[in-house]
Amino acid sequence: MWFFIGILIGALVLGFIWWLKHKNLHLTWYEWLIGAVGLILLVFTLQNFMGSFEEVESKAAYMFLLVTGLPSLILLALTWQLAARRLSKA
Amino acid sequence: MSKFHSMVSRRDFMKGLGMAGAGIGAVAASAPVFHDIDELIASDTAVQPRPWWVKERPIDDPTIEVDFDMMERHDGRNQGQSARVRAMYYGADRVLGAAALSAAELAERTASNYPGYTYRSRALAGSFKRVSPGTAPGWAETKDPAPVKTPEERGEPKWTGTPEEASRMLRAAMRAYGASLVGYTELTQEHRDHVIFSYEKGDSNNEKYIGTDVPVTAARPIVFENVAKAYETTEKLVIPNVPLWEIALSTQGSNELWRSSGTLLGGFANSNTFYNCGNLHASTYNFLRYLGYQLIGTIGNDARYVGSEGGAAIMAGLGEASRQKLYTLTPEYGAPGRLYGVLTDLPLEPTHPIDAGIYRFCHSCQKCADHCPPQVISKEKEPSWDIPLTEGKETIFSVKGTKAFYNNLPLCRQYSNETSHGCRICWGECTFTVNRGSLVHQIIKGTVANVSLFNTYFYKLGEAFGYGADAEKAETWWDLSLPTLGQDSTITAADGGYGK
Repeated sequence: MWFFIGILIGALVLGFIWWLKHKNLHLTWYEWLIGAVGLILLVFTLQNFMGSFEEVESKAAYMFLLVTGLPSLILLALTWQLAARRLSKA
Repeated sequence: MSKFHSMVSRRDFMKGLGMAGAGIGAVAASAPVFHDIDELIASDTAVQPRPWWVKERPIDDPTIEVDFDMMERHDGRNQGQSARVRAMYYGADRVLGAAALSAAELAERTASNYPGYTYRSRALAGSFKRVSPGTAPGWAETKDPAPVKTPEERGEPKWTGTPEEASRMLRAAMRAYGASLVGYTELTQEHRDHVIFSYEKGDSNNEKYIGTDVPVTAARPIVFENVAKAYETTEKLVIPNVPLWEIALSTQGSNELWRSSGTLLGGFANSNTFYNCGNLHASTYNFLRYLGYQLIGTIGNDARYVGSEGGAAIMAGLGEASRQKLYTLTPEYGAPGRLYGVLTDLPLEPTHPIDAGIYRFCHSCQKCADHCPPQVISKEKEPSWDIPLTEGKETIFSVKGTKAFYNNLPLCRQYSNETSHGCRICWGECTFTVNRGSLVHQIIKGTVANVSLFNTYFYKLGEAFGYGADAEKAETWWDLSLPTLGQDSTITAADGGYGK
Protein backbone atom coordinates (compact mmCIF):
# COMPACT_ATOMS: atom_id res chain seq x y z
CA MET A 1 0.00 0.00 0.00
CA TRP A 2 2.78 2.41 0.95
CA PHE A 3 4.29 1.86 -2.50
CA PHE A 4 1.13 3.32 -4.05
CA ILE A 5 0.95 6.10 -1.46
CA GLY A 6 4.56 6.96 -2.36
CA ILE A 7 3.66 7.11 -6.06
CA LEU A 8 0.60 9.25 -5.27
CA ILE A 9 2.62 11.69 -3.17
CA GLY A 10 5.33 11.82 -5.84
CA ALA A 11 2.70 12.58 -8.48
CA LEU A 12 1.13 15.27 -6.30
CA VAL A 13 4.49 16.93 -5.63
CA LEU A 14 5.37 16.77 -9.34
CA GLY A 15 1.96 18.20 -10.22
CA PHE A 16 2.47 20.98 -7.69
CA ILE A 17 5.88 21.86 -9.20
CA TRP A 18 4.41 21.86 -12.70
CA TRP A 19 1.55 24.04 -11.48
CA LEU A 20 4.02 26.51 -9.98
CA LYS A 21 5.96 26.65 -13.26
CA HIS A 22 2.76 26.98 -15.28
CA LYS A 23 1.67 29.92 -13.12
CA ASN A 24 5.24 31.25 -13.10
CA LEU A 25 5.32 31.22 -9.29
CA HIS A 26 8.40 30.69 -7.12
CA LEU A 27 8.80 29.59 -3.52
CA THR A 28 11.68 30.74 -1.32
CA TRP A 29 14.09 28.16 0.14
CA TYR A 30 12.55 28.38 3.61
CA GLU A 31 9.03 27.94 2.20
CA TRP A 32 10.24 24.76 0.50
CA LEU A 33 11.89 23.61 3.76
CA ILE A 34 8.85 24.26 5.98
CA GLY A 35 6.56 22.68 3.40
CA ALA A 36 8.77 19.58 3.07
CA VAL A 37 8.94 19.13 6.85
CA GLY A 38 5.18 19.52 7.04
CA LEU A 39 4.63 16.96 4.28
CA ILE A 40 7.02 14.42 5.83
CA LEU A 41 5.32 14.90 9.19
CA LEU A 42 1.91 14.42 7.55
CA VAL A 43 2.98 11.16 5.89
CA PHE A 44 4.56 10.04 9.18
CA THR A 45 1.27 10.78 10.94
CA LEU A 46 -0.74 8.84 8.37
CA GLN A 47 1.54 5.81 8.64
CA ASN A 48 1.44 5.75 12.44
CA PHE A 49 -2.29 6.52 12.58
CA MET A 50 -3.08 3.55 10.36
CA GLY A 51 -0.33 1.40 11.90
CA SER A 52 -1.66 2.03 15.39
CA PHE A 53 -5.12 0.83 14.38
CA GLU A 54 -3.47 -2.28 12.93
CA GLU A 55 -1.83 -2.74 16.33
CA VAL A 56 -5.25 -2.29 18.03
CA GLU A 57 -3.89 0.79 19.83
CA SER A 58 -6.66 3.28 19.11
CA LYS A 59 -5.56 5.80 21.75
CA ALA A 60 -2.07 5.86 20.22
CA ALA A 61 -3.63 6.39 16.78
CA TYR A 62 -5.53 9.51 17.90
CA MET A 63 -2.52 10.77 19.84
CA PHE A 64 -0.55 10.70 16.59
CA LEU A 65 -3.19 12.92 15.00
CA LEU A 66 -2.72 15.38 17.86
CA VAL A 67 1.03 15.20 18.44
CA THR A 68 2.36 14.98 14.89
CA GLY A 69 -0.71 15.48 12.66
CA LEU A 70 -1.65 18.92 13.97
CA PRO A 71 1.90 20.34 13.69
CA SER A 72 2.14 18.95 10.15
CA LEU A 73 -1.02 20.83 9.11
CA ILE A 74 0.21 23.99 10.83
CA LEU A 75 3.51 23.79 8.94
CA LEU A 76 1.75 23.24 5.60
CA ALA A 77 -0.66 26.10 6.33
CA LEU A 78 2.29 28.29 7.31
CA THR A 79 4.00 27.57 3.98
CA TRP A 80 0.84 28.41 2.11
CA GLN A 81 0.30 31.67 3.98
CA LEU A 82 3.93 32.75 3.69
CA ALA A 83 3.87 32.19 -0.06
CA ALA A 84 0.40 33.66 -0.57
CA ARG A 85 1.14 36.86 1.38
CA ARG A 86 4.54 37.33 -0.27
CA LEU A 87 3.08 36.86 -3.74
CA SER A 88 0.11 39.11 -3.08
CA LYS A 89 2.51 41.94 -2.14
CA ALA A 90 4.54 41.45 -5.30
CA MET B 1 9.92 21.38 -29.36
CA SER B 2 7.76 20.27 -26.50
CA LYS B 3 9.41 20.51 -23.12
CA PHE B 4 8.13 17.00 -22.50
CA HIS B 5 10.08 15.59 -25.45
CA SER B 6 12.31 12.75 -24.39
CA MET B 7 16.01 13.58 -24.23
CA VAL B 8 16.88 9.87 -24.46
CA SER B 9 17.69 8.64 -27.96
CA ARG B 10 16.61 5.19 -29.14
CA ARG B 11 20.26 4.14 -29.10
CA ASP B 12 20.70 5.31 -25.49
CA PHE B 13 17.47 3.61 -24.53
CA MET B 14 18.58 0.28 -25.97
CA LYS B 15 22.01 0.69 -24.34
CA GLY B 16 20.31 1.33 -21.01
CA LEU B 17 18.11 -1.69 -21.50
CA GLY B 18 21.20 -3.79 -22.18
CA MET B 19 22.91 -2.44 -19.06
CA ALA B 20 19.81 -3.20 -16.98
CA GLY B 21 19.69 -6.72 -18.41
CA ALA B 22 23.36 -7.24 -17.63
CA GLY B 23 22.78 -5.92 -14.12
CA ILE B 24 19.86 -8.27 -13.52
CA GLY B 25 21.93 -11.14 -14.93
CA ALA B 26 24.83 -10.31 -12.62
CA VAL B 27 22.51 -10.18 -9.61
CA ALA B 28 20.90 -13.49 -10.61
CA ALA B 29 24.30 -15.10 -11.12
CA SER B 30 25.54 -13.95 -7.73
CA ALA B 31 22.31 -14.79 -5.86
CA PRO B 32 22.68 -17.77 -3.51
CA VAL B 33 21.26 -21.05 -4.78
CA PHE B 34 21.40 -23.96 -2.35
CA HIS B 35 21.54 -27.51 -3.60
CA ASP B 36 21.58 -29.28 -0.24
CA ILE B 37 21.66 -28.69 3.52
CA ASP B 38 25.45 -28.56 3.61
CA GLU B 39 25.45 -25.60 1.23
CA LEU B 40 22.72 -23.94 3.25
CA ILE B 41 24.59 -24.08 6.55
CA ALA B 42 27.71 -22.74 4.85
CA SER B 43 25.83 -19.66 3.70
CA ASP B 44 25.96 -16.32 5.46
CA THR B 45 22.24 -15.91 4.90
CA ALA B 46 21.63 -18.72 7.40
CA VAL B 47 23.02 -16.50 10.16
CA GLN B 48 20.37 -15.04 12.43
CA PRO B 49 19.92 -11.44 11.31
CA ARG B 50 19.28 -8.76 13.92
CA PRO B 51 17.76 -5.31 13.53
CA TRP B 52 20.20 -2.76 12.13
CA TRP B 53 20.50 -0.84 15.39
CA VAL B 54 21.75 -3.84 17.41
CA LYS B 55 25.49 -3.63 18.07
CA GLU B 56 27.70 -6.52 19.14
CA ARG B 57 29.88 -6.35 22.25
CA PRO B 58 32.93 -8.45 23.18
CA ILE B 59 32.37 -11.98 24.49
CA ASP B 60 31.51 -12.02 28.25
CA ASP B 61 31.00 -8.23 28.26
CA PRO B 62 27.24 -7.56 28.18
CA THR B 63 25.67 -4.16 28.91
CA ILE B 64 24.93 -5.27 32.48
CA GLU B 65 28.27 -5.32 34.30
CA VAL B 66 29.34 -8.77 35.51
CA ASP B 67 31.98 -9.64 38.12
CA PHE B 68 32.61 -13.37 38.09
CA ASP B 69 34.75 -13.08 41.24
CA MET B 70 31.69 -11.91 43.18
CA MET B 71 29.41 -14.47 41.59
CA GLU B 72 28.86 -17.81 43.29
CA ARG B 73 27.13 -20.84 41.83
CA HIS B 74 23.57 -20.05 42.78
CA ASP B 75 21.49 -22.56 44.67
CA GLY B 76 18.49 -23.26 42.41
CA ARG B 77 16.40 -24.10 45.48
CA ASN B 78 16.58 -20.48 46.62
CA GLN B 79 14.30 -18.59 44.29
CA GLY B 80 11.39 -16.25 44.76
CA GLN B 81 8.79 -18.71 43.51
CA SER B 82 9.60 -21.17 46.27
CA ALA B 83 7.00 -21.51 49.03
CA ARG B 84 9.84 -22.18 51.49
CA VAL B 85 11.64 -18.95 50.49
CA ARG B 86 8.43 -16.89 50.53
CA ALA B 87 7.61 -18.22 53.99
CA MET B 88 11.04 -17.08 55.22
CA TYR B 89 10.03 -13.48 54.47
CA TYR B 90 6.23 -13.47 54.80
CA GLY B 91 5.39 -16.40 57.04
CA ALA B 92 3.80 -19.78 56.33
CA ASP B 93 0.27 -18.55 57.05
CA ARG B 94 0.34 -15.96 54.29
CA VAL B 95 1.95 -18.38 51.81
CA LEU B 96 -0.60 -21.10 52.50
CA GLY B 97 -3.48 -18.63 52.45
CA ALA B 98 -2.84 -17.45 48.88
CA ALA B 99 -5.10 -20.02 47.23
CA ALA B 100 -8.11 -18.91 49.27
CA LEU B 101 -7.57 -15.26 48.30
CA SER B 102 -7.18 -16.26 44.65
CA ALA B 103 -10.41 -18.29 44.74
CA ALA B 104 -12.30 -15.43 46.39
CA GLU B 105 -11.16 -12.96 43.74
CA LEU B 106 -12.08 -15.39 40.98
CA ALA B 107 -15.57 -15.79 42.41
CA GLU B 108 -16.05 -12.04 42.83
CA ARG B 109 -14.85 -11.17 39.34
CA THR B 110 -16.83 -13.99 37.77
CA ALA B 111 -19.99 -12.77 39.52
CA SER B 112 -19.45 -9.20 38.32
CA ASN B 113 -18.60 -10.30 34.74
CA TYR B 114 -15.29 -8.42 35.02
CA PRO B 115 -13.45 -8.08 31.66
CA GLY B 116 -11.36 -11.17 31.08
CA TYR B 117 -13.54 -13.23 33.47
CA THR B 118 -16.50 -13.80 31.17
CA TYR B 119 -17.69 -17.33 30.45
CA ARG B 120 -15.55 -17.59 27.31
CA SER B 121 -12.46 -16.19 29.09
CA ARG B 122 -12.78 -18.75 31.88
CA ALA B 123 -13.14 -21.47 29.24
CA LEU B 124 -10.07 -20.31 27.29
CA ALA B 125 -7.71 -19.93 30.24
CA GLY B 126 -9.01 -22.96 32.13
CA SER B 127 -8.73 -25.29 29.16
CA PHE B 128 -5.00 -24.88 28.60
CA LYS B 129 -3.34 -28.30 28.45
CA ARG B 130 0.36 -28.96 28.21
CA VAL B 131 0.60 -32.48 26.85
CA SER B 132 3.97 -34.10 27.41
CA PRO B 133 5.47 -35.74 24.30
CA GLY B 134 5.35 -39.23 25.78
CA THR B 135 7.91 -38.62 28.49
CA ALA B 136 8.99 -36.15 31.13
CA PRO B 137 12.41 -35.06 29.84
CA GLY B 138 15.32 -35.90 32.10
CA TRP B 139 18.67 -34.22 32.76
CA ALA B 140 20.32 -35.95 29.78
CA GLU B 141 17.06 -37.24 28.27
CA THR B 142 17.67 -40.68 29.68
CA LYS B 143 13.91 -41.13 30.02
CA ASP B 144 13.11 -40.94 26.29
CA PRO B 145 11.58 -44.37 25.52
CA ALA B 146 12.32 -44.29 21.80
CA PRO B 147 15.23 -42.02 20.97
CA VAL B 148 16.72 -41.84 17.47
CA LYS B 149 19.75 -44.02 16.82
CA THR B 150 23.17 -42.53 17.42
CA PRO B 151 25.79 -42.62 14.61
CA GLU B 152 27.42 -45.51 16.47
CA GLU B 153 24.18 -47.46 16.46
CA ARG B 154 23.64 -46.68 12.79
CA GLY B 155 27.21 -47.62 11.88
CA GLU B 156 28.37 -44.29 10.51
CA PRO B 157 30.77 -41.64 11.84
CA LYS B 158 29.43 -38.75 13.94
CA TRP B 159 28.75 -35.47 12.17
CA THR B 160 31.75 -33.17 11.98
CA GLY B 161 32.09 -29.63 10.79
CA THR B 162 33.44 -26.28 11.88
CA PRO B 163 31.87 -24.53 14.89
CA GLU B 164 30.45 -21.94 12.48
CA GLU B 165 28.75 -24.63 10.42
CA ALA B 166 27.46 -26.35 13.55
CA SER B 167 26.07 -23.06 14.87
CA ARG B 168 24.15 -22.33 11.68
CA MET B 169 22.92 -25.91 11.37
CA LEU B 170 21.68 -26.10 14.96
CA ARG B 171 20.00 -22.71 14.73
CA ALA B 172 18.19 -23.69 11.54
CA ALA B 173 17.06 -27.00 13.09
CA MET B 174 15.92 -25.46 16.37
CA ARG B 175 14.06 -22.71 14.53
CA ALA B 176 12.24 -25.44 12.59
CA TYR B 177 11.40 -27.20 15.89
CA GLY B 178 9.92 -24.04 17.40
CA ALA B 179 12.71 -21.84 18.79
CA SER B 180 12.89 -18.18 17.80
CA LEU B 181 16.19 -16.57 18.83
CA VAL B 182 19.18 -18.91 19.29
CA GLY B 183 22.65 -17.99 20.56
CA TYR B 184 25.64 -19.74 22.07
CA THR B 185 28.30 -19.31 24.74
CA GLU B 186 31.31 -21.45 25.49
CA LEU B 187 31.10 -22.99 28.96
CA THR B 188 34.43 -21.70 30.23
CA GLN B 189 35.96 -22.66 33.56
CA GLU B 190 34.73 -19.30 34.88
CA HIS B 191 31.17 -20.23 33.90
CA ARG B 192 31.54 -23.70 35.49
CA ASP B 193 32.86 -22.18 38.73
CA HIS B 194 30.42 -19.25 39.01
CA VAL B 195 27.42 -19.52 36.67
CA ILE B 196 26.12 -23.10 36.69
CA PHE B 197 23.63 -23.66 39.51
CA SER B 198 24.91 -25.64 42.50
CA TYR B 199 21.49 -27.28 42.94
CA GLU B 200 18.56 -27.88 40.67
CA LYS B 201 15.23 -26.33 41.66
CA GLY B 202 13.68 -29.79 41.49
CA ASP B 203 10.66 -30.07 43.73
CA SER B 204 11.96 -27.51 46.23
CA ASN B 205 9.13 -25.03 45.52
CA ASN B 206 6.66 -27.43 47.09
CA GLU B 207 4.81 -26.09 50.12
CA LYS B 208 5.74 -29.20 52.13
CA TYR B 209 9.29 -27.84 52.49
CA ILE B 210 8.20 -24.67 54.31
CA GLY B 211 10.32 -24.36 57.42
CA THR B 212 12.49 -27.37 56.59
CA ASP B 213 15.60 -28.25 54.62
CA VAL B 214 14.99 -29.58 51.12
CA PRO B 215 16.33 -33.15 50.86
CA VAL B 216 18.70 -33.99 47.97
CA THR B 217 16.14 -36.43 46.64
CA ALA B 218 13.81 -33.45 46.06
CA ALA B 219 16.45 -31.09 44.62
CA ARG B 220 19.72 -32.65 43.62
CA PRO B 221 23.17 -31.04 43.56
CA ILE B 222 24.66 -30.34 40.11
CA VAL B 223 28.20 -31.70 40.05
CA PHE B 224 31.03 -31.97 37.53
CA GLU B 225 32.66 -35.37 37.07
CA ASN B 226 35.41 -36.79 34.87
CA VAL B 227 33.05 -38.78 32.69
CA ALA B 228 32.25 -38.54 28.99
CA LYS B 229 28.46 -38.36 29.20
CA ALA B 230 26.02 -36.48 31.42
CA TYR B 231 23.86 -38.62 33.69
CA GLU B 232 21.57 -38.38 36.68
CA THR B 233 20.85 -40.43 39.78
CA THR B 234 18.28 -39.89 42.51
CA GLU B 235 20.87 -37.88 44.41
CA LYS B 236 22.83 -35.88 41.82
CA LEU B 237 22.87 -34.38 38.33
CA VAL B 238 26.20 -34.82 36.60
CA ILE B 239 27.86 -32.56 34.02
CA PRO B 240 30.88 -34.19 32.33
CA ASN B 241 34.25 -32.45 32.48
CA VAL B 242 34.48 -32.15 28.70
CA PRO B 243 34.36 -29.08 26.44
CA LEU B 244 30.78 -27.81 26.49
CA TRP B 245 28.75 -24.97 25.01
CA GLU B 246 25.54 -23.42 26.27
CA ILE B 247 22.64 -22.97 23.88
CA ALA B 248 20.51 -19.96 24.81
CA LEU B 249 17.15 -19.86 23.08
CA SER B 250 13.83 -18.15 23.24
CA THR B 251 10.31 -19.15 22.39
CA GLN B 252 7.71 -16.55 21.59
CA GLY B 253 4.76 -15.02 23.35
CA SER B 254 1.58 -13.32 22.22
CA ASN B 255 1.70 -9.54 22.72
CA GLU B 256 -2.09 -9.19 22.69
CA LEU B 257 -2.49 -11.78 25.45
CA TRP B 258 0.27 -10.22 27.56
CA ARG B 259 -1.43 -6.84 27.24
CA SER B 260 -4.52 -8.46 28.78
CA SER B 261 -2.52 -9.13 31.95
CA GLY B 262 -4.44 -8.69 35.16
CA THR B 263 -7.16 -10.96 33.76
CA LEU B 264 -7.50 -14.67 33.07
CA LEU B 265 -6.35 -14.06 29.49
CA GLY B 266 -3.20 -12.44 30.84
CA GLY B 267 -2.61 -15.57 32.89
CA PHE B 268 -3.12 -17.61 29.75
CA ALA B 269 -0.43 -15.49 28.05
CA ASN B 270 2.10 -17.27 30.25
CA SER B 271 0.66 -20.73 29.50
CA ASN B 272 0.65 -19.90 25.78
CA THR B 273 4.46 -19.69 25.74
CA PHE B 274 4.74 -23.34 26.82
CA TYR B 275 2.81 -24.92 23.96
CA ASN B 276 5.77 -26.24 22.00
CA CYS B 277 8.48 -26.57 24.64
CA GLY B 278 8.16 -30.35 25.02
CA ASN B 279 8.41 -30.92 21.27
CA LEU B 280 11.28 -28.45 20.98
CA HIS B 281 13.21 -30.19 23.73
CA ALA B 282 12.62 -33.73 22.46
CA SER B 283 13.40 -32.82 18.85
CA THR B 284 16.56 -30.87 19.72
CA TYR B 285 17.78 -33.67 21.96
CA ASN B 286 17.22 -36.26 19.21
CA PHE B 287 18.75 -34.01 16.52
CA LEU B 288 21.95 -33.73 18.54
CA ARG B 289 21.83 -37.43 19.37
CA TYR B 290 21.48 -38.29 15.66
CA LEU B 291 24.59 -36.20 14.95
CA GLY B 292 26.47 -37.95 17.77
CA TYR B 293 26.31 -35.29 20.50
CA GLN B 294 24.52 -34.80 23.81
CA LEU B 295 22.04 -32.29 25.23
CA ILE B 296 22.20 -31.56 28.96
CA GLY B 297 19.35 -29.87 30.81
CA THR B 298 15.75 -29.42 29.80
CA ILE B 299 14.03 -26.97 27.49
CA GLY B 300 10.71 -26.12 29.08
CA ASN B 301 11.21 -27.48 32.60
CA ASP B 302 12.73 -25.02 35.03
CA ALA B 303 13.08 -27.76 37.66
CA ARG B 304 16.30 -28.77 35.90
CA TYR B 305 17.75 -25.51 34.62
CA VAL B 306 21.54 -25.60 34.39
CA GLY B 307 21.74 -21.93 35.33
CA SER B 308 19.90 -18.63 35.05
CA GLU B 309 18.27 -18.70 31.64
CA GLY B 310 18.18 -14.91 31.56
CA GLY B 311 21.91 -14.82 32.19
CA ALA B 312 22.55 -17.24 29.33
CA ALA B 313 20.37 -15.15 27.01
CA ILE B 314 22.29 -11.99 27.92
CA MET B 315 25.72 -13.58 27.51
CA ALA B 316 24.73 -15.14 24.16
CA GLY B 317 23.33 -11.84 22.89
CA LEU B 318 19.67 -12.78 22.66
CA GLY B 319 18.77 -9.73 24.67
CA GLU B 320 19.73 -7.36 27.47
CA ALA B 321 19.05 -7.23 31.19
CA SER B 322 16.04 -5.26 32.41
CA ARG B 323 14.86 -3.31 35.43
CA GLN B 324 12.23 -5.96 36.03
CA LYS B 325 14.98 -8.64 36.23
CA LEU B 326 12.63 -11.59 35.66
CA TYR B 327 12.57 -10.97 31.94
CA THR B 328 15.38 -10.35 29.49
CA LEU B 329 14.41 -7.84 26.85
CA THR B 330 15.14 -8.76 23.24
CA PRO B 331 15.26 -6.19 20.44
CA GLU B 332 12.78 -8.25 18.42
CA TYR B 333 10.16 -9.15 21.02
CA GLY B 334 10.65 -6.98 24.08
CA ALA B 335 9.46 -8.85 27.17
CA PRO B 336 7.09 -11.58 25.87
CA GLY B 337 8.44 -15.06 25.29
CA ARG B 338 10.37 -17.58 27.29
CA LEU B 339 14.10 -18.22 27.65
CA TYR B 340 15.99 -21.46 28.09
CA GLY B 341 19.59 -22.51 28.46
CA VAL B 342 20.88 -26.04 27.83
CA LEU B 343 24.34 -27.53 27.33
CA THR B 344 25.83 -29.56 24.49
CA ASP B 345 29.21 -31.03 23.56
CA LEU B 346 28.72 -30.08 19.90
CA PRO B 347 31.42 -27.43 19.32
CA LEU B 348 29.68 -24.13 18.56
CA GLU B 349 30.76 -20.63 17.60
CA PRO B 350 29.91 -18.28 20.53
CA THR B 351 27.62 -15.38 19.70
CA HIS B 352 28.31 -11.93 21.09
CA PRO B 353 26.40 -10.03 23.77
CA ILE B 354 24.47 -7.14 22.27
CA ASP B 355 23.92 -3.46 22.91
CA ALA B 356 20.59 -2.14 21.66
CA GLY B 357 20.42 0.52 24.39
CA ILE B 358 17.77 -1.52 26.19
CA TYR B 359 19.37 -1.85 29.63
CA ARG B 360 20.41 1.80 29.50
CA PHE B 361 16.78 2.65 28.66
CA CYS B 362 15.64 0.72 31.75
CA HIS B 363 17.73 3.09 33.88
CA SER B 364 15.41 5.94 32.82
CA CYS B 365 12.18 4.03 32.38
CA GLN B 366 10.26 2.58 35.30
CA LYS B 367 6.95 1.84 33.59
CA CYS B 368 6.98 -1.74 34.89
CA ALA B 369 7.66 -0.50 38.44
CA ASP B 370 4.97 2.19 38.25
CA HIS B 371 2.33 -0.37 37.30
CA CYS B 372 3.45 -3.18 39.63
CA PRO B 373 0.52 -3.74 42.05
CA PRO B 374 2.64 -4.99 45.01
CA GLN B 375 5.42 -2.47 44.15
CA VAL B 376 8.20 -5.05 44.15
CA ILE B 377 10.20 -3.66 41.22
CA SER B 378 13.12 -1.37 42.01
CA LYS B 379 12.68 2.34 41.32
CA GLU B 380 16.36 3.12 41.83
CA LYS B 381 17.90 5.41 39.21
CA GLU B 382 21.06 3.33 38.91
CA PRO B 383 21.76 -0.40 39.28
CA SER B 384 23.97 -1.62 42.09
CA TRP B 385 26.44 -4.37 42.96
CA ASP B 386 24.98 -4.53 46.48
CA ILE B 387 21.93 -6.69 47.00
CA PRO B 388 19.58 -4.93 49.44
CA LEU B 389 17.98 -6.74 52.36
CA THR B 390 14.47 -8.11 51.88
CA GLU B 391 12.10 -7.43 54.77
CA GLY B 392 15.23 -6.88 56.91
CA LYS B 393 16.64 -10.29 56.05
CA GLU B 394 19.40 -11.51 53.75
CA THR B 395 18.26 -11.75 50.14
CA ILE B 396 19.00 -15.36 49.27
CA PHE B 397 17.11 -15.55 45.95
CA SER B 398 19.18 -13.14 43.84
CA VAL B 399 22.36 -14.11 42.01
CA LYS B 400 25.37 -12.10 43.17
CA GLY B 401 27.95 -10.56 40.85
CA THR B 402 25.94 -8.36 38.50
CA LYS B 403 25.33 -4.62 38.67
CA ALA B 404 21.57 -4.93 38.62
CA PHE B 405 18.24 -3.60 39.79
CA TYR B 406 17.06 -5.89 42.61
CA ASN B 407 13.44 -6.78 43.11
CA ASN B 408 11.45 -8.47 45.84
CA LEU B 409 10.78 -11.67 43.92
CA PRO B 410 9.16 -13.64 46.79
CA LEU B 411 6.55 -10.88 47.19
CA CYS B 412 6.11 -10.82 43.39
CA ARG B 413 5.19 -14.51 43.42
CA GLN B 414 3.20 -14.26 46.65
CA TYR B 415 1.05 -11.46 45.20
CA SER B 416 0.65 -13.42 41.94
CA ASN B 417 -0.56 -16.45 43.84
CA GLU B 418 -3.03 -14.34 45.82
CA THR B 419 -4.69 -13.15 42.61
CA SER B 420 -6.85 -15.24 40.30
CA HIS B 421 -4.91 -14.13 37.20
CA GLY B 422 -1.25 -14.50 38.15
CA CYS B 423 -0.54 -10.75 37.63
CA ARG B 424 2.35 -10.40 35.10
CA ILE B 425 1.18 -6.85 34.46
CA CYS B 426 4.80 -5.70 34.03
CA TRP B 427 5.15 -7.91 30.93
CA GLY B 428 2.23 -6.20 29.24
CA GLU B 429 3.28 -2.75 30.43
CA CYS B 430 6.91 -2.90 29.30
CA THR B 431 7.76 -0.11 26.86
CA PHE B 432 9.35 -2.71 24.57
CA THR B 433 6.20 -4.88 24.36
CA VAL B 434 5.07 -3.31 21.09
CA ASN B 435 4.04 -4.58 17.69
CA ARG B 436 5.40 -3.54 14.30
CA GLY B 437 2.50 -1.70 12.68
CA SER B 438 3.66 1.81 13.47
CA LEU B 439 6.92 3.09 12.06
CA VAL B 440 7.54 5.02 15.26
CA HIS B 441 8.59 1.89 17.18
CA GLN B 442 11.50 1.22 14.82
CA ILE B 443 12.54 4.89 14.95
CA ILE B 444 12.45 4.94 18.75
CA LYS B 445 14.29 1.63 19.10
CA GLY B 446 16.94 2.85 16.65
CA THR B 447 17.28 6.10 18.60
CA VAL B 448 17.41 4.38 21.99
CA ALA B 449 20.23 2.15 20.74
CA ASN B 450 22.40 5.14 19.91
CA VAL B 451 21.29 8.08 22.09
CA SER B 452 20.12 7.93 25.71
CA LEU B 453 19.13 11.61 25.85
CA PHE B 454 15.46 10.97 24.98
CA ASN B 455 14.92 7.82 27.09
CA THR B 456 12.80 9.45 29.80
CA TYR B 457 10.80 11.28 27.13
CA PHE B 458 10.10 8.03 25.25
CA TYR B 459 9.06 6.32 28.50
CA LYS B 460 6.57 9.12 29.24
CA LEU B 461 5.43 9.11 25.62
CA GLY B 462 4.58 5.40 25.88
CA GLU B 463 2.40 6.18 28.89
CA ALA B 464 0.67 9.12 27.18
CA PHE B 465 -0.07 7.13 24.04
CA GLY B 466 -1.80 4.41 26.03
CA TYR B 467 0.50 1.48 25.28
CA GLY B 468 0.41 -1.28 27.86
CA ALA B 469 -1.92 -3.60 29.71
CA ASP B 470 -5.64 -3.06 30.10
CA ALA B 471 -8.32 -5.47 31.32
CA GLU B 472 -10.67 -4.31 28.56
CA LYS B 473 -8.23 -5.72 25.99
CA ALA B 474 -9.17 -9.20 27.22
CA GLU B 475 -12.63 -8.76 25.72
CA THR B 476 -11.69 -7.01 22.45
CA TRP B 477 -9.12 -9.82 21.95
CA TRP B 478 -11.90 -12.20 20.90
CA ASP B 479 -12.67 -10.18 17.78
CA LEU B 480 -9.07 -10.01 16.55
CA SER B 481 -7.66 -12.16 13.76
CA LEU B 482 -4.16 -12.97 15.02
CA PRO B 483 -1.35 -15.27 13.83
CA THR B 484 -1.22 -18.92 14.88
CA LEU B 485 -0.73 -19.08 18.68
CA GLY B 486 -1.03 -15.29 18.59
CA GLN B 487 2.73 -15.15 17.97
CA ASP B 488 4.44 -13.29 15.12
CA SER B 489 6.99 -15.86 14.01
CA THR B 490 8.02 -13.79 10.99
CA ILE B 491 9.96 -11.29 13.11
CA THR B 492 13.14 -13.33 12.79
CA ALA B 493 12.57 -14.30 9.14
CA ALA B 494 15.03 -12.71 6.73
CA ASP B 495 14.46 -15.01 3.77
CA GLY B 496 11.46 -16.22 1.84
CA GLY B 497 9.77 -12.85 1.74
CA TYR B 498 8.25 -13.28 5.21
CA GLY B 499 10.03 -10.45 7.00
CA LYS B 500 8.45 -7.03 6.82
